[in-house]
Amino acid sequence: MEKYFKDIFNGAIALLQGMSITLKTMFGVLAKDEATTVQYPEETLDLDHTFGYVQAQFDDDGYSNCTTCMGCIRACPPGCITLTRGKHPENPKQKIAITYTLDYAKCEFCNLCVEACNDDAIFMAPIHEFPFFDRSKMNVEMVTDMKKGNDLKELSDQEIKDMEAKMKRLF
Amino acid sequence: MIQKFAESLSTQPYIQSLIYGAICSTLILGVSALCVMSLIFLERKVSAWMQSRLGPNRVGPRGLLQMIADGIKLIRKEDIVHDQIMKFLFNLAPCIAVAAPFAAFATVPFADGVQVVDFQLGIIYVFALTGFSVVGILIAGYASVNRYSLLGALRATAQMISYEIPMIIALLGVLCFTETLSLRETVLYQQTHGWNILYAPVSFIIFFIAATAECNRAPFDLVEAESELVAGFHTEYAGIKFAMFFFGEYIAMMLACSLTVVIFMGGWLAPFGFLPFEVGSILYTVWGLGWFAAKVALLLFTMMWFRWTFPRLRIDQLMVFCWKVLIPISMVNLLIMAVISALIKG
Repeated sequence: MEKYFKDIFNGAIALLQGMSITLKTMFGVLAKDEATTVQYPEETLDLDHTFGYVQAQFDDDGYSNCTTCMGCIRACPPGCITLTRGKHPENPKQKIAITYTLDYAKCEFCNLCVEACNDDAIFMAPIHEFPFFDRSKMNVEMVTDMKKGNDLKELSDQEIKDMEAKMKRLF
Repeated sequence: MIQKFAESLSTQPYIQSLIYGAICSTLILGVSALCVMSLIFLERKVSAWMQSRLGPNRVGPRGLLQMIADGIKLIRKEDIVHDQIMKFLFNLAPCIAVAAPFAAFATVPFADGVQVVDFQLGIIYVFALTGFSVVGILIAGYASVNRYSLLGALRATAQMISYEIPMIIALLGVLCFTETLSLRETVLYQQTHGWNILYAPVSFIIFFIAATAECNRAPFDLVEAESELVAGFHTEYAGIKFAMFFFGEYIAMMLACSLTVVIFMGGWLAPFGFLPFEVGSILYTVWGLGWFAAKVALLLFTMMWFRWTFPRLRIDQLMVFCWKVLIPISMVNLLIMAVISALIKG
């Protein structure tokens, strides 16, 4: 009998405690703006160095850092990286990538190529999202003629509209 | 006012009452449809705030147009059913689920003089209709030809049978004092004697818990327990029929809160007998409507608060809670109330 009333009493106390917690959370959101969620298109989370899009790095003279050790190509699971090897124009003993191409249609953003790179030639640029509207543009030539090539560019509004119109025609 | 308008149109009494009924039900339907739309929006907002989120805030200013978008989406949705349903019953079920709680609003006094009909047996009428709404759920589960639906419907029946009992017994304790079954006279009694919640807090708590269970609201939402029964009795429903179940659920919620307000919290009366306007004037009616709406809103918020705080009960816990906790306490409460009322009234 004593246990019966004790159970009811403890249960009621626990329920009230739970209700006070939810009410506190609610007023935290309403009054102090303590929402834990990120309002995605307006705000984005900071990305760490392992997440993002692959980008090439260049030295002070503007030449690619890549020494064509092929580490990234061997590490790449879908095999989306291609490069052509050449000699460095200022130091003929050093090898350098003339072109360095990454196909984002195949890339799975696994970061293995960056981990395999010995020369800081590529890194993960903390870009949150970058839509491609055309498959032919997904093959990005990041190094052209040993120097900076095509980059991930922001598309202009007109370009996006044209592409969406083209896609609508397909469906 | 509507009564006079109806009398001016025709001299036949039955045509008068037909016109009166048509106007009143259209008014209640319109107002309750608006209320349900804003309630769904508020439910989403409150749930978001209690989970430390912001909730819908994309459509319109502060997400206010979300409720219209929700409605349009539900109406435009394709009505997909499988070919083994019992067609007539399947279509009948959502109508019952909406009509039963909707008809019960006929005798709820919203303010002094704002009441469709003042039944002498108003409380019995209301409880007969709330008990009837489970028939809609049962038919839906049976006609869907789906195990999950049937299980949900059977749970609803078991739950309804169990929770009607403490609800009515808790109410009996109050009726010992008010000695009337008319909802309007219940409020008038509270005008002279003070709100019933002050004399019968235990009855109030039991009544409100049982009313929450009657609406199949969380934590008693075993009927449509998503993690166990897909969606319970409305698994096979889509589009406008599902929207009608949704509508009926929220109308039942509003009805339960209105009843609690009328029986325990003084209906249209302002707290502490505060009365700035002359009784019978139009301002007094508006003032009463405002207080009624405020109290119902408070209780509706409490129901949402329950839903987003408590985890769902298991079916045996549900039954144990009703038969071993609510019913004994309400019995003892009834005994005490009866003795006190006998002592006071001699």
